[in-house]
Amino acid sequence: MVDAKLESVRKTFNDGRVVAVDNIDLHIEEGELIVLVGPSGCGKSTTLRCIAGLEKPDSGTIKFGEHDVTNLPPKDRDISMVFQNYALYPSMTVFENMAFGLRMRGADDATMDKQVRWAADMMGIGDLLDRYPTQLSGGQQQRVALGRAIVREPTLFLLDEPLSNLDAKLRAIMRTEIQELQRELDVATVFVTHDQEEAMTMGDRIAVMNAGRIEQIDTPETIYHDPVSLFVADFIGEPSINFFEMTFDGSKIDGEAFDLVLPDTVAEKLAEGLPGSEVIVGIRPEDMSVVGTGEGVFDVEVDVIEPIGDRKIVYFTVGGRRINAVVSSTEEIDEGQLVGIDVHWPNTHMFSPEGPKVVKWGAAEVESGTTDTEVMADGSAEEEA
Amino acid sequence: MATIEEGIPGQERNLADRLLEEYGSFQGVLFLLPTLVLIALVVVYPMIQYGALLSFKQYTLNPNVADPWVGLQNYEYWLLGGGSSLLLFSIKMTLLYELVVVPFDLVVALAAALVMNEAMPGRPLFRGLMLAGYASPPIAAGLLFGIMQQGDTYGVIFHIMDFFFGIPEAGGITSNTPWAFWGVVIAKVWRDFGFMYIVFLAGVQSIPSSLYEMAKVDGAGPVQRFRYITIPHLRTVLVTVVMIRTVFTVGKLAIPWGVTKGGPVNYTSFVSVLIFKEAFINWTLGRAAALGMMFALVLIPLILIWVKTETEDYD
Repeated sequence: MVDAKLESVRKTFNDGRVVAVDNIDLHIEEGELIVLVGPSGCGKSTTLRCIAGLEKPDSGTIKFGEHDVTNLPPKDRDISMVFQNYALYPSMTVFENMAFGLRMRGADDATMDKQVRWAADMMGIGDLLDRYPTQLSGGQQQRVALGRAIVREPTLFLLDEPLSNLDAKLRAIMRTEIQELQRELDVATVFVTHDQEEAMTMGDRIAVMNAGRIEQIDTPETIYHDPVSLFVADFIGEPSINFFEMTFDGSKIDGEAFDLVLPDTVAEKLAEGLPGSEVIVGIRPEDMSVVGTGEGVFDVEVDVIEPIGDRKIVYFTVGGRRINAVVSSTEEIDEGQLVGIDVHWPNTHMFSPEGPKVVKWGAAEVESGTTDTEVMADGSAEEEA
Repeated sequence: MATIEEGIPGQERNLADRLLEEYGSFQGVLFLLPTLVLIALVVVYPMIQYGALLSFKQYTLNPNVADPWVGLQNYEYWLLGGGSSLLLFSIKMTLLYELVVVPFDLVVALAAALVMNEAMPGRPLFRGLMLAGYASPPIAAGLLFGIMQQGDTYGVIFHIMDFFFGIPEAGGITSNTPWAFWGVVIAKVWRDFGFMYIVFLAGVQSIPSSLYEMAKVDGAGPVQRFRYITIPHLRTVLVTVVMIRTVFTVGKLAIPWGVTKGGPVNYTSFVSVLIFKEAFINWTLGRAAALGMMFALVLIPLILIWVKTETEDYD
């Protein structure tokens, strides 16, 4: 059982013109499944490849346990990888594919056979051992790729968007399987994805990356309920958080759709942390509800309604921006209807226009003990009647 | 072949449609006709008139005298008579030539393709330069290599080979056995490896780099990666290309002729060279034609095998 530490790792391309990884520090705990998530080009794959040894960082160190592996080639790092396209050797059978790593390390036939069969059983591909990769479906190929990764019982698993090539249903199935696998084998795992839903469901911790930097590393719950920057708030959460550009004058926030006098506790914190008078208020769709006209914070005309099973997404326009609210599917709302929008304020986040979060309404109130409303773990609030 | 017209009841089929249906496949022949005529004129007619027919005659230089018919005399010359020992030797050297040139070609082409697949400054230029040989006229390449292989005129190749092997300066590579053979081989490989190279380069470029990366993670070194990833990926292409080169090397004479003119004393007179010498140096075209016909007869089964295994039937 090993942990991995990246310290001030920096990787650039094109003679330093492209900074892929910008001095990041990352500590992967023993046995944890950490997800690196971010948009294309944020440096998550490059970071993974640095950990693997396929890229050499310009500066910084990478340690596995006590060993400094920064200058070691991949084969000396005792890691296993799964690529997005599986990279199965097409000229070898499934068995030979899985045995390859052991064979390169000089294992004898008996050991190879035992290990491969054990891994194959774990992945449920015991009956595919004599087939060639081209004879397998996408899902089967993926299992072989995973089986090949576990067969050597490495100290670190590295998975580079392994589910991206699968259809939605299979992806959901494999997500749980990988989690179970990881828990059973208790191996530190780094999982790279651009899909925020995948990140939220899979990781013990998530590292949200942007332009070569880690913006926030936390548990999925914390990241969702307490994003530290505009980017993180925007990236995590489906449908995306709504942003309102407003101005703050010390006690009131003023915007195109509505203005609101803030409670003293919130106003104080905001005054402290906000550099100017502009503030971006973030409200998640789940915290907006549809009420009668005049009963909410502001009234608005419904543009589009998207039913998604047990919920509906209601779209409307505020200040030129598309805003959405998520409501239960039993609510009766029509497109074009004029409705009122109410907001559950404790889950509102306020950001400086430059990015960092200044205050979360609920947090400020809880801190000062002025609220009767309990903010539950899932962000919903139970109001005392 | 069912036509739409048939399926629509009550529709009148006019004369044109009916003719098309009856004789539709004949159209194909009509499309091919111009090319067939051309081939008949340029290939078939000379093959018959100056190949088959000429092989039964004795060619005379005087255009006013008809070439006398000598029956199988030319064939007898090669198979039983004065030319038989030369023919045997030539066949031996031709086979040796094939067995040496093709593997040599393969190794050089594969090495070049692998090197050209790596990132390097000016790579597009180098990739193109590799093909320079293949773009050159073979006779020019042959003649130049012949010159470079001379000892008394500071031939570059001569001096390099001399350094390793010690070759008599008089006559250089091209006039000394067994060096003349290797001189031709070198020229041939230099000129022709571009063909295999370009095919291998395309093959090698289509290997996803993630396969090599996975192999690195698995612990495979460069030789093992070559053995388990590169070669299997190129396997089908390799076989095809070797077959093509084998069939197409055997009849060529421009390079051997350019380098050594078939010498020294018939040492590099492969069968194709022999035919040429017989025809245009000795002016015994009848004998040359006979040899050519025999050569063709031997090659036909080879080519048929190649066609059968490498081409597909489209139904």
